[in-house]
Amino acid sequence: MTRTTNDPGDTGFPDGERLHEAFAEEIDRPGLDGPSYDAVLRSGNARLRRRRVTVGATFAVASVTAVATAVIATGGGASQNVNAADNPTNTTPAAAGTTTAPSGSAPGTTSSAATSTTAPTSPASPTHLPDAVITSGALDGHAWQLVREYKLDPGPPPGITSMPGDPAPHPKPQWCTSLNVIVDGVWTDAGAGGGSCVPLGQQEEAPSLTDAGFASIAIVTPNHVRLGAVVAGSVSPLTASVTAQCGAKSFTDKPLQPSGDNVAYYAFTLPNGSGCQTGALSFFDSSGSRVGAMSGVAFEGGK
Amino acid sequence: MGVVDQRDRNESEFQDFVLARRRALMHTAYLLTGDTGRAEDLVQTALAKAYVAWRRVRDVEDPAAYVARILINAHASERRRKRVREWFPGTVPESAVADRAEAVADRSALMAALASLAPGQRAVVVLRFWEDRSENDVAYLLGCSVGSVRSQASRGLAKLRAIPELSRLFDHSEVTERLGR
Repeated sequence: MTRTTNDPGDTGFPDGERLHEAFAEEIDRPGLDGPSYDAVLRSGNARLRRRRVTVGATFAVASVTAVATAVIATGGGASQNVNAADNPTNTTPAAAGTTTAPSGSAPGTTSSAATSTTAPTSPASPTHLPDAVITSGALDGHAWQLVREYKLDPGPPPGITSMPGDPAPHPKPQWCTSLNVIVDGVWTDAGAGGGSCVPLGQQEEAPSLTDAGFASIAIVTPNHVRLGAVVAGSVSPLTASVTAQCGAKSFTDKPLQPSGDNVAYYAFTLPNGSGCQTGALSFFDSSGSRVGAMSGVAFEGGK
Repeated sequence: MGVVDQRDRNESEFQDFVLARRRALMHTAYLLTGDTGRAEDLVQTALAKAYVAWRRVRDVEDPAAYVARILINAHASERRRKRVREWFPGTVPESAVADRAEAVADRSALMAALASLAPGQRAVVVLRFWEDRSENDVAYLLGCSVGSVRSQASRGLAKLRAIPELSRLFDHSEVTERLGR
C-alpha cells in the first residue's frame, strides 16, 4: 500500500507509509501515556490563579526592583567550591580553599560573594526583577557569575500569528526564569532555562519544600574553553541548606533568595578536575530535617 | 442549570477530552522533541491552556486540532528560548557519563534523524507523516503557507532518505520515480 497523505493534486510521498510505520514503532514504548488528568487540572488551576493575581502587582514589583538592585550591588551570593582544597589535580591552583574569599574578582579564586562592581547584569526590566547574581568567582583567571535572569518571551514567533479565537492567550510578553553563566562579561547562554513563565506584573510562585530543581551548567569562556561547571537549582525559600555529596566529600550551601523573588537558589562550583562527575544532593529545612534528595546527579553534565 | 452544575459539566467534558487526546498529543510531542519529559511538559502545558479557556475550546469546530495548535505554539515558544530545561529528580540519571553514552546509543536512528532536521521541517514531517494531516491542516497548525509546507515536507523527506541508517525505510527506486516525475 502506498500512503498518500497529500491533498488531491499534490505530489505524493509514497514513503510516507513507511515513515508512519517507523514513527508508530518509535512511540510504541512505555512512558508515553501523557500527563495525568490531575496534573493537567493542577496546572490549569495554577494558570487561572496566576491570571487572577494582579492587584497591586505592578507597584509591588517596582518596589522590590529597587531593593533587588541593592542586593546585586552588595553581593549576597552564597556557594561552595565543591573542588575545595583536597583535589590536587585541580588546574586552578588558587581556587583551593578560597570558598569564602570576599575578593571575588581576584584571578584564580572562587568566591561566595558576588562580584558586585563588575556584575554585567542585563538591563533591568522596568516591570520585573533585575538579574541577580547567585554566585560568582574566578577560574583560571576568568571571572564568572551565575545569574538568575528573567528572559522576556515576546510571544509567538514570526510566522505563527495569533490563533483565531485564541483559547489560551499566550502572554505577550511574559517573563521566564533561567539560570545563566557569564564568563569574562559574556553571557554564555549555556544555562538552564525553561523555568516558570509569568505574565508581566506577576510573580513566580514559591516552590514547595519538596520541589527542588537541578541543573549542571558549564562554565565556558568566550573562546569555548571549559573551566568547570556549576551545579545549581531553584528551591523553596524555606530550604535552609543544601548538601552536595561527591564520594567522601560533602559540601553545604545556604540557598540565596534574591530580594523580591519568591524562589531561592543554591549553587556549587566544580572547577575542571574536581572529580565530581556524579553525586547526591540533599535538601534540609530550618529544623534540619531532610525534605528532599537526589542521587546519581550528573554534577559535571553541563555542556 | 446552576453555576455549579455548569462547572461540573465543563470539567467532565474537559476530563473526557484529556483522557481521549492525551496519548495522541503525547506521541506528537515526543516526535517533536525526542524527549519524554519535555513531551509530557508540552502536553501538560497545552492541556492546561485549553483548560483555562475550555468553554471557548469546546465550541470550535475541531477542538483536537485547536489544542494541537496550542501544543505546536508552545513547542515553538520553548524552542525559541533555546534553553535547556532544568532537570528534576525523576529524570536525573544514575551515572552521568555511562548513561549519557547509553542514551545516545539507544536513541533510534529515526529519532536521531529527526533531530537533524530543522525545527520547522521536523514539525512538518511529523504532522504530515505521523498525524497524516493534509498540507492545508499543517499550514494552519504552523501558521505558514501551503507552499511552505509542501517544500518543507519534500526537503525533510529528502534529508531523511539521505541518511544511511534509514535506508531500510525507503524504497529508493520507487521514491525516485515518483518524486522525479
